[in-house]
Amino acid sequence: MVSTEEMGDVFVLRVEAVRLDSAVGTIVRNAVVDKLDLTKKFVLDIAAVKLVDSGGLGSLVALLKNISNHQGKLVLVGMNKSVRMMFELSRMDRQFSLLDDMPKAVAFLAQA
Amino acid sequence: MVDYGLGKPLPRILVVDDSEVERHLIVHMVSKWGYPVQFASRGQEALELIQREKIQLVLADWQMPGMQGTELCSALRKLALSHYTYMILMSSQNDEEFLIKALAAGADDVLAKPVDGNELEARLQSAVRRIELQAQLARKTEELSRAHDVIAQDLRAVSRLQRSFLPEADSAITGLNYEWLSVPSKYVSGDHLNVFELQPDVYGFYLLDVSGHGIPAAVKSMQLVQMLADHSNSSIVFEARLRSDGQRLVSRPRDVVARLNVLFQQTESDLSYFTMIYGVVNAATRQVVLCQAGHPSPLLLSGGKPVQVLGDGGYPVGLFDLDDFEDIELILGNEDALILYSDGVTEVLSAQTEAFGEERLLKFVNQQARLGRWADLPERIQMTVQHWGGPVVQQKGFEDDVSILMLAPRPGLLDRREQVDPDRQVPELTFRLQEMQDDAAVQLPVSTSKSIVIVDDSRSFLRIFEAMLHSWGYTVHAAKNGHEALHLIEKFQPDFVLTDWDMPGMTGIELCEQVRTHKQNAYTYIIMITGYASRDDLLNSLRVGADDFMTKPVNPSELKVRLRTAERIANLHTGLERRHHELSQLYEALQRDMREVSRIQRALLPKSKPDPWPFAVQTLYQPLGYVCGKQMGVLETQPNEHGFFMISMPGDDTATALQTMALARWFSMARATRVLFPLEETSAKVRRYLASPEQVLEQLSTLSPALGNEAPKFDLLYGLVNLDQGTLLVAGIGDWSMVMAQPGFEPLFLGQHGSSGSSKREGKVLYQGVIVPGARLYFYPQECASALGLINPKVWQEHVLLSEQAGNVLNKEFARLLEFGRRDGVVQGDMSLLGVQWREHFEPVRLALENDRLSQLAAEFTKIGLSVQDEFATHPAVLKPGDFLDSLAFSAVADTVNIGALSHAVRAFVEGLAYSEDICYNTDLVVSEALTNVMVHGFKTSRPEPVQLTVLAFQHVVGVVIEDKGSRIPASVFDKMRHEQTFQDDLALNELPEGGMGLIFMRVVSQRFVYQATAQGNRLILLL
Repeated sequence: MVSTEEMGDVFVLRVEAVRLDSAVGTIVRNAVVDKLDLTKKFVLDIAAVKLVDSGGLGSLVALLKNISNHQGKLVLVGMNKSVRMMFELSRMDRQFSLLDDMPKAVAFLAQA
Repeated sequence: MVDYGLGKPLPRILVVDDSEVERHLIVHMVSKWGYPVQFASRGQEALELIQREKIQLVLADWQMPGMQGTELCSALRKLALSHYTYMILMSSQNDEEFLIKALAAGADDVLAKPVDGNELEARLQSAVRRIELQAQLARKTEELSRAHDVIAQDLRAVSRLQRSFLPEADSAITGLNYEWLSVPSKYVSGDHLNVFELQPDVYGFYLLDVSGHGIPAAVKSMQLVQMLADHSNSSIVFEARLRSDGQRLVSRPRDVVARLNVLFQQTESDLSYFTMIYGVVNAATRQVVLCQAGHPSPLLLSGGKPVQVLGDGGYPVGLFDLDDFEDIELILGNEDALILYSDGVTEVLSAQTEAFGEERLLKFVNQQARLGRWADLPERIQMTVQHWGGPVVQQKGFEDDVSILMLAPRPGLLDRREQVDPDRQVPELTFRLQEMQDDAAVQLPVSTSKSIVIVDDSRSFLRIFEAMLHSWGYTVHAAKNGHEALHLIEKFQPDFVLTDWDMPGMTGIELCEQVRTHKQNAYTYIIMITGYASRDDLLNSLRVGADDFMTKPVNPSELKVRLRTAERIANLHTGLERRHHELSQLYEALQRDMREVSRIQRALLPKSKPDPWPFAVQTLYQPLGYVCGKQMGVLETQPNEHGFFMISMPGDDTATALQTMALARWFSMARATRVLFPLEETSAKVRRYLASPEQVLEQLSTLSPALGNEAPKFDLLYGLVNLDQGTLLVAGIGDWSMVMAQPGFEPLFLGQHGSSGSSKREGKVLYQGVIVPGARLYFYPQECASALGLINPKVWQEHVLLSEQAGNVLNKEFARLLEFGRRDGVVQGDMSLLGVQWREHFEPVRLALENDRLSQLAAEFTKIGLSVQDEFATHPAVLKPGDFLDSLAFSAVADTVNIGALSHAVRAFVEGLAYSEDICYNTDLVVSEALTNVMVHGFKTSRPEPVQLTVLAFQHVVGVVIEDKGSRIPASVFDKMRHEQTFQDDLALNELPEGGMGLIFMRVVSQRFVYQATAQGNRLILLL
């Protein structure tokens, strides 16, 4: 459901589910908690996700806050057009860093 | 062969005679009766044979060259062999002198030569019976003594464990000195005391006394020690918030006591409570703050002044759910000392059952203070109350645990060691247990005047014998017949019964039978007096339980000697019986304690819950002995989330059980829950995650007194299940087996399965993912696998897991598991297993809509579209759905799996009708949110009813109706929604009510939002 990978100092989580709901969110959050003291750079690859529901969004917000509180950065990568529309509608695009692909995400995090 | 009713093979007889003819005659006789026989011609030879062959029955001639029969007897008795050897001496010189000498030398019986066959046979049988009776008793005692030793050893380990948590003997603290003592009333204590560092210069101290004694009290005292020793983030002696300078804030004693009061409220299964004094002392400022909770008032000793009693009481802890505890504050002067003591000190009873009392204690302390004897005051107090208690306390120890803790500034009273009293000697109190055992071994019954009941129908015989026996020093009761005798025996419980054989009414044999069937307190030795000794009569009298017999006319000297033998045998028997009795009483008391521990251990287990809404729990817990080092717990971390844990510590003794119980109790405590399931600090909503095994290991070593700085010596499994989402996170330290059986999936076997376990105790995450409704989860220590009969995945698949998926499968699988486990019969180890089922599995059902219903819904959608007003807003224009195209309907329970399946089906349905991507996405989203809303609000704990989902596709819009029978969305939620016109930029989404964000999603994407809640159910209608 969620796979993880370490690319240098960047911790990448890949959601391998069509729907990002609170259950997936819980697993993502739990996977990140362990790494908060080790790295500051996190990428959540949601290219496979076709729908983010309210529970999923709530989890993503909690995830973002938790990472920010540890002086970390989170980037969402590969967001589907419909999901992005939802994000824009809910102003979430102003809070999250949304990037198209991994190279852009890594470059973005390297600058930060 | 003759039947002795004992069913034992006959003992081997050693015949010792120097005359070959006589030897052969006797050997011939006894082997005819079935006895295995050996012979010797000389005493020395006999002695060697007896030792080597462990011979228990010897028939020896008196007059032999070299070593005489009596000499053989004395030599044998001096050997102190492990087995008893019964000696029968034979002599042709059948006079009083021989009798006296023989019995004085230690012979058990005598026989006149030439040997009368009948008498020999009877006397041998009497011997066999006595040997067997003694052997039986000795065996029983031996078994009991072994069982007792096992428990005693176990308890000594508990005692060592408890002692290891007491403070160092000498204070290592700058500025603070202490003296203490703690004497358990029974091997283990319900009292405990400690002095420990909280912060530099700040020390906590306590003395607590759990109600009751022995192991049950020790169990609770250990749990308390565990909690007070925890100084991690979950500690109860520190505040959760930090001081402004970032330092931890030491809690006020009354707050600590109040927390304990909440944690240890009396329950139906555990009525115990405790009293305590908890205090904090600053070694630099000498400021003391302490809270007295139902405990005797502390004493303040100020150099030169009379002792002052501090405080006037306070509630005990755990009895009342009141937050009514008070602190006492004081500053210790240079010459001051504080004495805390348990009520075991003042409640020591004198021989006249008068309690020592507070007044005497004060007087004693004052007197000692005047003499300047401060430094060893606790011991002096102990000595004094021990003296007050007299021989009872000296022999059996204190009735209640006695503990004293004395604190003083340093340098101060406790540092003045110069006034050493050379006479001071604290009598050592050993384990009461040990003492009783030794007691029983050394204490032989005191020889007092023995009593006899004599029975004969001849008055003259009675009169003569009564006078004779009386002159020999016996207490005599005479009876004319059997019935009278029985009455007297019952009334006086005589040591001996001397009965005639042939009496009218009740014969001697019948009397004998009656006495033996009525169980007496002590053994009654019966001598039968026969007129004519036929073989059958003699054997009969022995069979019914006579111990000896004499033929008429009775030779007074022989009677005198036989009575003395009887006395010796009866004493031996009584001694053994008394030891047996004492041991069994002690053993029963210990067993009661162990059963109580076992009960407490079971009471800590999670309650089984058969209803799978939202989850079902079953546990299997069966220690091989009374207790074991396995424990488990299920705890609510928040309303939609439960944590669980299992502990497995090697060892099956009480000390181990005590430690696991203390740990389990601690893990179940709300504060400690954070160690396994920490809170995400940043979230407004309570969100927990699963601590990594490394984090847990690190934390564990700092919080448990049992661990110190060492790595934990136990295995730990812990997990968190979110009941709304169906997420499961499980990690294990050590070797754990986990089985996950889910509807529609192959079972998963995680952790260790099969025989080999890793030798290293390491932690790993076992599972991190979602579970589907109807999922069953089983957890157990891998070492329990064989005891449970679950040696490999194949056993699980073939014998336990069901293909059936609906309903409460956990209960059925548990029954199969138990049945399979019992199939083998023999249990070889402790069993501990936790089973959980999350919800139930329901298949969605596709519905075909009837035309009536279709046109009715179409009309409803059109009407809603034409209205510009809905639940949340006024719309700028009407909405015309256009022509009806197609429909899709399901009946399904709203659970995580079905929500996914239904929204997937709806997405395919709308995509097939070539709507714009927006509409497809929004329809999918709305269906998923609406069903989630039903799941979250509608069916918290009860078995849900299916929801009906209907989608109608029109030319311009898609209409969605969700009809459910759950609880309605609260009006307050809608009120809040109405004020939230759009999403805020400040990420305040987490403050929305439960399900609120889902409603916002639906409101934002749908063109019309209508919610109808009636008594028949709820309808949510959306147009997209």
